[in-house]
Amino acid sequence: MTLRRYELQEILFSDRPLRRELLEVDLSGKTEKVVTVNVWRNHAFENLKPLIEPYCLFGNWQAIFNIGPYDDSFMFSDWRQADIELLWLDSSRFSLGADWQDWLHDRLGALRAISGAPIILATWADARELDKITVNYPAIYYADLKRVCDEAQVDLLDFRTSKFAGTPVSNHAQLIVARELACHWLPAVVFPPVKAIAIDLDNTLHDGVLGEDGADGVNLSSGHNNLQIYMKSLSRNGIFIALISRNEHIDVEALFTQRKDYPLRWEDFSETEISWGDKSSAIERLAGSLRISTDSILFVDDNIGELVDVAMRLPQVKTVYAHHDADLTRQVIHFFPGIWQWSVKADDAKRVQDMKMNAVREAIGVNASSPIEYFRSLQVALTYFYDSEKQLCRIADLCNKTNQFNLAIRRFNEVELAECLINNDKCVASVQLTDRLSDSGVIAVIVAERRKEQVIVEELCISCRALGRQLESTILLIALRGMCIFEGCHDVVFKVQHGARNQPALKWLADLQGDCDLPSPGLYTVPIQRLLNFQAAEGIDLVKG
Amino acid sequence: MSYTEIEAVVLTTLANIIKNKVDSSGADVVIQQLDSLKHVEFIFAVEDEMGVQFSQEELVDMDSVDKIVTRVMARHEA
Repeated sequence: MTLRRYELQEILFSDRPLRRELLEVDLSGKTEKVVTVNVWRNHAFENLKPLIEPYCLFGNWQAIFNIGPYDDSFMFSDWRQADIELLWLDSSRFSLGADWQDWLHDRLGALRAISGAPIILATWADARELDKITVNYPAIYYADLKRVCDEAQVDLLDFRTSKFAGTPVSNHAQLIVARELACHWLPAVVFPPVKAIAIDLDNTLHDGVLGEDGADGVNLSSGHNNLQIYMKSLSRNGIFIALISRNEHIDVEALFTQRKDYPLRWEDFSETEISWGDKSSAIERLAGSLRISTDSILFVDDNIGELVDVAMRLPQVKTVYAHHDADLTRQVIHFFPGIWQWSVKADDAKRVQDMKMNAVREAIGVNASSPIEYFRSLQVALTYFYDSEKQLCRIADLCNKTNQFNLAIRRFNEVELAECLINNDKCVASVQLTDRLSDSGVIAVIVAERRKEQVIVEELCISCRALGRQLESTILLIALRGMCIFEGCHDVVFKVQHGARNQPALKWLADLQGDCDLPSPGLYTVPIQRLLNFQAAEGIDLVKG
Repeated sequence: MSYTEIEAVVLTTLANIIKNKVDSSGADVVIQQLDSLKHVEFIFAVEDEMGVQFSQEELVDMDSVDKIVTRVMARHEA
């Protein structure tokens, strides 16, 4: 299956995929995830289904579409639970105007009221108007069919075939839209993002072998130039770029100094692993130093042997074959599920810069005589926010992306969090971390509910970028104490769930209680006095947001 | 492209759509038995493969291999 996936990259990610070739794709095998999608529509969606399928299989997932009847009124009858709600709307069947926008706003509200799943509105009309409509509800996304077809230089509509096809979406547009749905729009609302790309050097970022051709002999083709520019843009969006190469370290560093024509500079790499050792071990080391899990890494290499070895030893790592045509490699990365996001939040973009500063922080830590001096010299500040609607998107992201420091693994989505914000018995605390080196953004969330004399902590999580700074208790306990629902309570009850990697959170709770053993799954009660006695770490500026 | 070459592409495309083998003698029956969605899929795939676009009038009765091949040839000649 792994080798077949690499072979298919050329068919799936060409500029103009061919319908016959897509229909011929055979990628049978068990997929990692199954996602259910309710399709509410007023034009045919059936033609897209077989075109979407090969892309989903390539991304190791399967979509099950519950396609509703043709319905111009979008009544959402016979609604059933699904992971995603897709409105597949032919706007040419309506006379567009203010009334239509009001009607659409009303319909989105009706669907939002019955479903907590992310809603994707896939249609074409004035993008500015539709953007205005979708911002009024949480977790509603506008998939602009016209924009993607314009970018692909394909006509969106073809009324010649609409009567037969049941949709005005043209033959070629269907191919482009199917790929967008399977690789961008659907995965971006249900799957965690790729956090790092570990990319090979020789015959991947340039044409040639550094050790044989020398720094002047390796060729930066137009495709490799485009690929490097693309990698740089991903880094600006908060994806770590790591170089993983079998070479001499000194030669590679000299290459990036010497080749001024390379868009990627040495300092653009968040980490480098240059050695003659095996690449799976190098990827594990990368994950450790970047404080991310290996399942959020995409590994790109032109050597099938290396790719297969990594896929066998670390099956959770995603892999992409680097083609001789680097433009094709760029396309494969661009369409790999988890790379594209609906929006790049300011906090995402801060990730790369923030991680770079960790080396400086560590050096300051080594030289500091005490934690107080360390915090003061860094000018660490924690800002506490409560029920912040403005941060809703980031808070949902944290709940869904955090794997190491989360206690209940309760993946709250935007809709559920929005309900918490307006409920007086519930509270959502969020904490922003800054120091003189960087602004880490919102790094922690607590979702809690008051029930009689108890505060129940439904979830708490801290981003991996804030771990290892001895700040966990100050972040969490001060945030809890500042909640309006905290006043007058007798106990705080933490909900505990065991996940694959959430030992740091479990250990923190055990330490809070003075226990040696990690807490078991279930409810874990901490007397209020323990929280009241807690002294925040000295030298930190605590601010109410 | 010759008639035979175009016919071969059309038959391959049809076999791909129905996910089964098909020969020239049974192809017309298969085409006529396709449901409307499969029929559109088939015609779209032929358009892709041959680099042509049929007119709305032509799309109405694309019910035999001969009609499809003849129309593709006409497009290519034009």
